[in-house]
Amino acid sequence: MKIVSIADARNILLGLTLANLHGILPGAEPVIDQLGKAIADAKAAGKDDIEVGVMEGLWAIYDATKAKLQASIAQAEFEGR
Amino acid sequence: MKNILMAVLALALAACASTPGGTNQVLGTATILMPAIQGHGTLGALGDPEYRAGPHVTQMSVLLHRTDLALNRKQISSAQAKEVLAATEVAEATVRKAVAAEKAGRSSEATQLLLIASKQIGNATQILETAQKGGVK
Repeated sequence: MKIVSIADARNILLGLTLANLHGILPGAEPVIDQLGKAIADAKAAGKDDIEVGVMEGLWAIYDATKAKLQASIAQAEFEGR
Repeated sequence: MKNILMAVLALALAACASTPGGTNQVLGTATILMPAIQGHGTLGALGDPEYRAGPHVTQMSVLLHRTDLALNRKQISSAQAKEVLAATEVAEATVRKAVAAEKAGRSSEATQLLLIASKQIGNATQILETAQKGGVK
Protein backbone atom coordinates (compact mmCIF):
# COMPACT_ATOMS: atom_id res chain seq x y z
CA MET A 1 0.00 0.00 0.00
CA LYS A 2 1.21 3.45 -0.79
CA ILE A 3 -0.07 6.96 -0.18
CA VAL A 4 -0.44 9.07 -3.31
CA SER A 5 -2.07 12.42 -3.97
CA ILE A 6 -5.63 12.68 -5.21
CA ALA A 7 -4.23 14.22 -8.40
CA ASP A 8 -2.04 11.17 -9.05
CA ALA A 9 -4.94 8.88 -8.28
CA ARG A 10 -7.10 10.80 -10.75
CA ASN A 11 -4.46 10.42 -13.48
CA ILE A 12 -4.34 6.72 -12.85
CA LEU A 13 -8.12 6.47 -12.88
CA LEU A 14 -8.27 8.38 -16.16
CA GLY A 15 -5.60 6.20 -17.72
CA LEU A 16 -7.22 2.99 -16.59
CA THR A 17 -10.62 4.13 -17.78
CA LEU A 18 -9.38 5.08 -21.23
CA ALA A 19 -7.38 1.86 -21.55
CA ASN A 20 -10.47 -0.07 -20.54
CA LEU A 21 -12.70 1.79 -22.98
CA HIS A 22 -10.22 1.05 -25.76
CA GLY A 23 -10.35 -2.63 -24.94
CA ILE A 24 -6.80 -2.98 -23.65
CA LEU A 25 -7.66 -3.97 -20.09
CA PRO A 26 -11.15 -5.44 -20.04
CA GLY A 27 -10.59 -6.86 -16.55
CA ALA A 28 -10.10 -3.43 -15.03
CA GLU A 29 -13.74 -2.52 -14.39
CA PRO A 30 -13.83 -3.56 -10.70
CA VAL A 31 -10.57 -1.76 -10.03
CA ILE A 32 -11.84 1.37 -11.79
CA ASP A 33 -15.02 1.28 -9.74
CA GLN A 34 -13.15 0.90 -6.47
CA LEU A 35 -10.61 3.57 -7.25
CA GLY A 36 -13.29 6.01 -8.38
CA LYS A 37 -15.27 5.46 -5.21
CA ALA A 38 -12.14 5.80 -3.08
CA ILE A 39 -11.29 9.13 -4.71
CA ALA A 40 -14.82 10.40 -4.22
CA ASP A 41 -14.81 9.32 -0.57
CA ALA A 42 -11.42 10.92 0.05
CA LYS A 43 -12.58 14.18 -1.50
CA ALA A 44 -15.79 14.14 0.52
CA ALA A 45 -13.72 13.62 3.67
CA GLY A 46 -11.51 16.57 2.75
CA LYS A 47 -8.39 14.45 2.32
CA ASP A 48 -5.51 15.37 0.03
CA ASP A 49 -4.19 11.88 -0.50
CA ILE A 50 -5.28 8.28 -0.73
CA GLU A 51 -3.81 4.92 0.20
CA VAL A 52 -3.65 2.49 -2.67
CA GLY A 53 -2.25 -0.91 -3.61
CA VAL A 54 -0.69 -0.84 -7.05
CA MET A 55 0.32 -4.48 -7.29
CA GLU A 56 -2.96 -5.63 -5.76
CA GLY A 57 -4.77 -3.74 -8.50
CA LEU A 58 -2.62 -5.20 -11.25
CA TRP A 59 -3.10 -8.73 -9.96
CA ALA A 60 -6.86 -8.13 -9.69
CA ILE A 61 -6.93 -7.12 -13.35
CA TYR A 62 -4.86 -10.16 -14.28
CA ASP A 63 -7.10 -12.52 -12.32
CA ALA A 64 -10.24 -11.06 -13.91
CA THR A 65 -8.76 -11.33 -17.41
CA LYS A 66 -7.70 -14.91 -16.76
CA ALA A 67 -11.15 -15.83 -15.46
CA LYS A 68 -12.72 -14.36 -18.60
CA LEU A 69 -10.43 -16.41 -20.84
CA GLN A 70 -11.18 -19.56 -18.86
CA ALA A 71 -14.89 -18.93 -19.33
CA SER A 72 -14.37 -18.40 -23.07
CA ILE A 73 -12.40 -21.65 -23.29
CA ALA A 74 -15.18 -23.52 -21.51
CA GLN A 75 -17.75 -22.01 -23.89
CA ALA A 76 -15.63 -22.87 -26.95
CA GLU A 77 -15.23 -26.44 -25.74
CA PHE A 78 -18.99 -26.65 -25.23
CA GLU A 79 -19.44 -25.51 -28.82
CA GLY A 80 -16.91 -28.09 -29.99
CA ARG A 81 -14.32 -25.69 -31.33
CA MET B 1 -8.33 4.83 2.92
CA LYS B 2 -7.49 1.15 2.97
CA ASN B 3 -7.68 -1.79 0.63
CA ILE B 4 -8.13 0.33 -2.42
CA LEU B 5 -7.14 -1.30 -5.64
CA MET B 6 -5.69 0.48 -8.57
CA ALA B 7 -3.23 0.13 -11.38
CA VAL B 8 -1.03 2.39 -13.44
CA LEU B 9 -1.63 3.13 -17.08
CA ALA B 10 2.07 3.60 -17.64
CA LEU B 11 2.55 -0.04 -16.78
CA ALA B 12 -0.14 -1.00 -19.24
CA LEU B 13 1.34 1.14 -21.96
CA ALA B 14 4.81 -0.21 -21.30
CA ALA B 15 3.47 -3.72 -21.47
CA CYS B 16 1.52 -3.05 -24.65
CA ALA B 17 4.45 -1.39 -26.33
CA SER B 18 6.79 -4.23 -25.44
CA THR B 19 4.45 -7.02 -26.46
CA PRO B 20 6.28 -8.79 -29.30
CA GLY B 21 4.18 -8.54 -32.41
CA GLY B 22 1.31 -7.05 -30.47
CA THR B 23 -1.80 -6.27 -32.41
CA ASN B 24 -2.03 -3.01 -34.25
CA GLN B 25 -5.07 -2.22 -32.21
CA VAL B 26 -3.23 -2.46 -28.92
CA LEU B 27 -0.13 -0.64 -30.09
CA GLY B 28 -2.20 1.97 -31.91
CA THR B 29 -4.30 2.59 -28.86
CA ALA B 30 -1.22 2.88 -26.69
CA THR B 31 0.19 5.45 -29.07
CA ILE B 32 -3.04 7.42 -29.09
CA LEU B 33 -3.31 7.41 -25.33
CA MET B 34 0.32 8.19 -24.61
CA PRO B 35 0.26 11.95 -25.05
CA ALA B 36 -3.06 12.26 -23.24
CA ILE B 37 -2.00 10.69 -20.00
CA GLN B 38 0.57 11.63 -17.42
CA GLY B 39 0.99 7.99 -16.63
CA HIS B 40 4.74 7.92 -16.75
CA GLY B 41 5.03 10.79 -14.31
CA THR B 42 2.56 9.09 -12.03
CA LEU B 43 4.49 5.85 -12.11
CA GLY B 44 7.68 7.71 -11.32
CA ALA B 45 6.02 9.34 -8.35
CA LEU B 46 4.97 5.93 -7.07
CA GLY B 47 8.40 4.40 -7.67
CA ASP B 48 8.98 1.44 -5.40
CA PRO B 49 10.95 -1.80 -5.87
CA GLU B 50 7.87 -3.94 -5.36
CA TYR B 51 6.35 -2.40 -8.49
CA ARG B 52 9.05 -3.89 -10.69
CA ALA B 53 6.77 -6.82 -11.45
CA GLY B 54 3.98 -4.49 -12.54
CA PRO B 55 4.80 -4.52 -16.24
CA HIS B 56 5.05 -8.32 -16.22
CA VAL B 57 1.62 -8.67 -14.62
CA THR B 58 0.15 -6.22 -17.12
CA GLN B 59 1.84 -7.96 -20.04
CA MET B 60 0.25 -11.21 -18.94
CA SER B 61 -3.14 -9.51 -18.68
CA VAL B 62 -2.81 -8.12 -22.20
CA LEU B 63 -1.67 -11.50 -23.54
CA LEU B 64 -4.61 -13.34 -22.00
CA HIS B 65 -6.97 -10.69 -23.36
CA ARG B 66 -5.49 -11.09 -26.85
CA THR B 67 -5.94 -14.85 -26.52
CA ASP B 68 -9.55 -14.35 -25.46
CA LEU B 69 -10.18 -12.14 -28.49
CA ALA B 70 -8.53 -14.63 -30.85
CA LEU B 71 -10.58 -17.48 -29.42
CA ASN B 72 -13.85 -15.58 -29.66
CA ARG B 73 -13.03 -14.53 -33.22
CA LYS B 74 -12.42 -18.22 -34.00
CA GLN B 75 -8.85 -17.52 -35.02
CA ILE B 76 -7.62 -20.19 -32.60
CA SER B 77 -9.13 -23.28 -31.01
CA SER B 78 -9.87 -23.87 -27.35
CA ALA B 79 -6.93 -26.28 -27.24
CA GLN B 80 -4.61 -23.60 -28.56
CA ALA B 81 -6.00 -21.08 -26.09
CA LYS B 82 -5.34 -23.57 -23.32
CA GLU B 83 -1.73 -23.85 -24.45
CA VAL B 84 -1.30 -20.09 -24.20
CA LEU B 85 -3.00 -20.04 -20.82
CA ALA B 86 -0.77 -22.83 -19.51
CA ALA B 87 2.36 -21.07 -20.73
CA THR B 88 1.19 -17.82 -19.15
CA GLU B 89 0.55 -19.59 -15.87
CA VAL B 90 4.16 -20.75 -15.87
CA ALA B 91 5.20 -17.10 -16.15
CA GLU B 92 2.66 -16.13 -13.50
CA ALA B 93 4.22 -18.56 -11.03
CA THR B 94 7.64 -17.08 -11.71
CA VAL B 95 6.40 -13.52 -11.28
CA ARG B 96 4.72 -14.43 -7.98
CA LYS B 97 8.02 -15.92 -6.79
CA ALA B 98 9.79 -12.73 -7.82
CA VAL B 99 7.32 -10.59 -5.88
CA ALA B 100 7.80 -12.79 -2.83
CA ALA B 101 11.58 -12.57 -3.16
CA GLU B 102 11.39 -8.79 -3.44
CA LYS B 103 9.24 -8.57 -0.32
CA ALA B 104 11.70 -10.80 1.52
CA GLY B 105 14.52 -8.45 0.60
CA ARG B 106 16.12 -10.81 -1.93
CA SER B 107 16.29 -8.22 -4.65
CA SER B 108 18.89 -9.91 -6.86
CA GLU B 109 16.91 -13.14 -6.84
CA ALA B 110 13.81 -11.15 -7.78
CA THR B 111 15.69 -9.62 -10.68
CA GLN B 112 16.73 -13.02 -11.99
CA LEU B 113 13.21 -14.36 -11.65
CA LEU B 114 11.76 -11.38 -13.51
CA LEU B 115 14.22 -11.96 -16.34
CA ILE B 116 13.07 -15.57 -16.54
CA ALA B 117 9.45 -14.44 -16.41
CA SER B 118 10.03 -12.07 -19.33
CA LYS B 119 11.27 -14.99 -21.43
CA GLN B 120 8.34 -17.12 -20.36
CA ILE B 121 5.89 -14.38 -21.31
CA GLY B 122 7.68 -14.16 -24.64
CA ASN B 123 7.23 -17.90 -25.12
CA ALA B 124 3.53 -17.67 -24.32
CA THR B 125 3.17 -14.79 -26.76
CA GLN B 126 4.94 -16.83 -29.41
CA ILE B 127 2.53 -19.71 -28.89
CA LEU B 128 -0.42 -17.37 -29.47
CA GLU B 129 1.07 -15.77 -32.55
CA THR B 130 2.08 -19.10 -34.06
CA ALA B 131 -1.43 -20.41 -33.46
CA GLN B 132 -2.95 -17.35 -35.10
CA LYS B 133 -0.70 -17.71 -38.13
CA GLY B 134 -1.36 -21.42 -38.43
CA GLY B 135 -5.10 -21.15 -38.03
CA VAL B 136 -7.47 -23.25 -35.95
CA LYS B 137 -6.26 -26.81 -35.26
